[in-house]
Amino acid sequence: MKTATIAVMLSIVVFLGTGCGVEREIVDDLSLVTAVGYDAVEGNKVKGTIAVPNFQADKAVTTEIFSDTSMLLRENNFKLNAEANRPLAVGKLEVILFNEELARKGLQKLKDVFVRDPSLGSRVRLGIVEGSTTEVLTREYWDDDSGMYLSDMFEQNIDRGTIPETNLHLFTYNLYSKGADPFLPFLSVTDMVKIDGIALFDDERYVGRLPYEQTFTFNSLIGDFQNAIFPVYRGDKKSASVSNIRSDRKIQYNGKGNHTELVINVHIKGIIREYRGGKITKKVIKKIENTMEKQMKQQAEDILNKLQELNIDPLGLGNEYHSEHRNFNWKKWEDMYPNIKITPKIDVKIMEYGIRR
Amino acid sequence: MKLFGKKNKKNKSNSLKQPNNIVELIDMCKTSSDFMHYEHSIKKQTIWLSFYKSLVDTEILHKDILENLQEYKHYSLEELKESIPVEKVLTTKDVEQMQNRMLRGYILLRLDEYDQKGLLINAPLKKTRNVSVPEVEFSVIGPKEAFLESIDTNLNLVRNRLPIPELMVKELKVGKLTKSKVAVLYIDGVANEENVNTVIQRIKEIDIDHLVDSSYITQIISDNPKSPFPQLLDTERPDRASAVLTEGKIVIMAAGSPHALIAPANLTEFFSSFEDYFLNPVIASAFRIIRFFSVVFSILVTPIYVATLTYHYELIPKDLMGTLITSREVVPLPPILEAIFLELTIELLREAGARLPTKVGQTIGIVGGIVIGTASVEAGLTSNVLLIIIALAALASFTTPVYQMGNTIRLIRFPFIFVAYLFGMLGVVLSFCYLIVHLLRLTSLGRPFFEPIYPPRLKDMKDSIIRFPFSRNTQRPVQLQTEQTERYSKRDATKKKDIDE
Repeated sequence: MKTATIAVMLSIVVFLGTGCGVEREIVDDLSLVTAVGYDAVEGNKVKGTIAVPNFQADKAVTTEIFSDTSMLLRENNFKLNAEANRPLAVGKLEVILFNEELARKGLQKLKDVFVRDPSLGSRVRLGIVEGSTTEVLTREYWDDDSGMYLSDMFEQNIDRGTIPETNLHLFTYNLYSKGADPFLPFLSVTDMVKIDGIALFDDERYVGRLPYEQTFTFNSLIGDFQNAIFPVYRGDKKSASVSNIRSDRKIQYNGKGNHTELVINVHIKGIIREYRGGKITKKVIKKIENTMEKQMKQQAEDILNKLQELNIDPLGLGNEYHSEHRNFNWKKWEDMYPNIKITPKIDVKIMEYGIRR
Repeated sequence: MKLFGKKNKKNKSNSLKQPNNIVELIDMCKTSSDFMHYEHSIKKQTIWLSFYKSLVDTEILHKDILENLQEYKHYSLEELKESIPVEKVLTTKDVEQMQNRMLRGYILLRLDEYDQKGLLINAPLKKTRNVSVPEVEFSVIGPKEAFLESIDTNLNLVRNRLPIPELMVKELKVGKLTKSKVAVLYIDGVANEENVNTVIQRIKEIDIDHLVDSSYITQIISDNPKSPFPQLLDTERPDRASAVLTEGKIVIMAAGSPHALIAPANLTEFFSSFEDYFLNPVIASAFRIIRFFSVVFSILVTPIYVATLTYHYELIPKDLMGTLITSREVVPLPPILEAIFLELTIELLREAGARLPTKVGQTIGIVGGIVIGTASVEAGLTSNVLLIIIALAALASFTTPVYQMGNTIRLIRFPFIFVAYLFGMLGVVLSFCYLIVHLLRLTSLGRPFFEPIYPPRLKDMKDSIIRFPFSRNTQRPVQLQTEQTERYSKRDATKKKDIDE
């Protein structure tokens, strides 16, 4: 009993005396930031916009927007705090957006504040916005808060294979990895905010993007994904939509040294979801498979050419090559990469085509 | 300072005055109005009868005793004894014995008022209720008998189920004033002798003036009486009592108590209902797992709510955020006060329901559950989410089959809530560590209380959180260190039968 009392007293002293108690943050007394966006302005300043959901009693959610300009991101937060009725808390941050122009200058310094904050999850989604991020955040998303809406949008599209998995953790991993470069979803604002392709990075700098039409092929070159739709165009009467139920990437190395040839084997198992031409026979399936292979191969070659031209490696081929070669030399790989021959080999197999009523 | 009472060194011993001879004894007893002492004349002679009329069955006195004495004149006590057809008749001169026996419903019969020697005839009045349905440990299927206040009936109920000579009953007397009979039951050759000796020794050492119920014994002989956890299992089911006897456990019964105690016990037993054995093992195991889950849920859910809302808003899933915040928005209290308020409300309801007569109690339940719950939410004192959480936690704590354990679970939640408010999740983890360490240190009759879990005993796991079929449960629990470890042959139990002919 005595020891128990001592133990209790001791832990109270240890935890209270050393100030080890965590700061009290009651959830409904905070302004929970769900999304932030950063835009480039003149000089080395950044315009920061944050979205805070305001939950109404009737279950509707409105978004409060705070915006200010400063050099440091935390400084910006501090400034914005002066406008908010409750302290801003970034622990529930879901989405971080950067403006295209800002991304061109490099994200390394900017992402630091997010990596440094322990209350922030590493599964925060990042995105690059064409135009102003403020516009994306201030938009009305029906009953939803903009941060939640965008977060759901990213998540849903990653699940459905529109874009490969990206988040803060993967972004920083690819950023610091020698044999890979990061990529992020690219948002454009038209009538609606939509995912419009993939933003490619050379290290920390945004250098180019892939259009939306090429995301399926890009995804298949990266690795496993599911449920995405690929339209196979064969004229008005024979076009079809194929969704993939499985996709596999394998890399093969032919030759040695500078004469190495990389072959990316992509195996796709798909289902025909839509066909313009009526009855589907084995012959039709064969033809659809062939056309799809051809179209994807064309796209893959375009993508690979672009990547090699920009000298970037979002597919992580450097890491793959490293893992399978002894006496690997990064210097040598960097010299080799722009000129190495990379051949995509696409193999499509239609597993089923459904029935018609 | 009289705050703690006057320290009175004299007159400390509370032993009662002892009569020196029979006249003193009769005089002492006569001061009580229910003591009868008179000369009774039957046809051929007169005799002196002394007894407590409140303890003696007058029907036995008239029909069995007096009627048989009518035929001829008796010249000695020996002759009298022969003509009385009652089983316990003894001749004695011992004054102390006379006093004790008369207080247990014996009649003192003497030939003359000043005779030293007398006959003690057993004629106790036994007024007990009939064997009824168990109310605390009710089961839908299975036997519907429960123990009574009468220890003899209770022993009968157990012995009927175990008709073997090895079933031993050791009777002891506890309580200076109540002199209550306490019986220790075990199966000789199965129960560990050390355990039996420990129980008997501890009961013998009890120094108390009154023993009214078996729960007194639990509190006194527990290994750690300060612990909130009951360390002896109590049951009102004779079937359970006899089942644990065959396992090698010891059953303690006290006169006047409808609850028997089972020792040694371990933690998992407090969460297993005896009905589990009447169900198919798969279903029984599922129910047990649900019960274990509900215990953990009941202890931890409110503290986690308090910790999360006070410190760790990051942990709340984003889809739940809206619901939580909108329901908390109007509440002016911090989560801790909100939680304490509701927890106390539930405790009040339970206490009120338990104290009031059944019919009023039901009304209280309805009033409390519906009116107070909804009203407090509408008044903005508590949030909807917390109301649901607390109600579920209370419900979960009621799934514990042993009442005493249910109380403990509801009680230990409060320190958890306070610590959760002070240190957040860290505090919850810390207090859970204290709880686990406390459970690890507990023993029941010197056997580890946390047993099949720690120290890990895989063999005992077969009948703890899940229940294996009877064919796989052929060994007695390791915890009990029984003299005979095998219950029945495993080979026979698991043998594949030929096709029935």
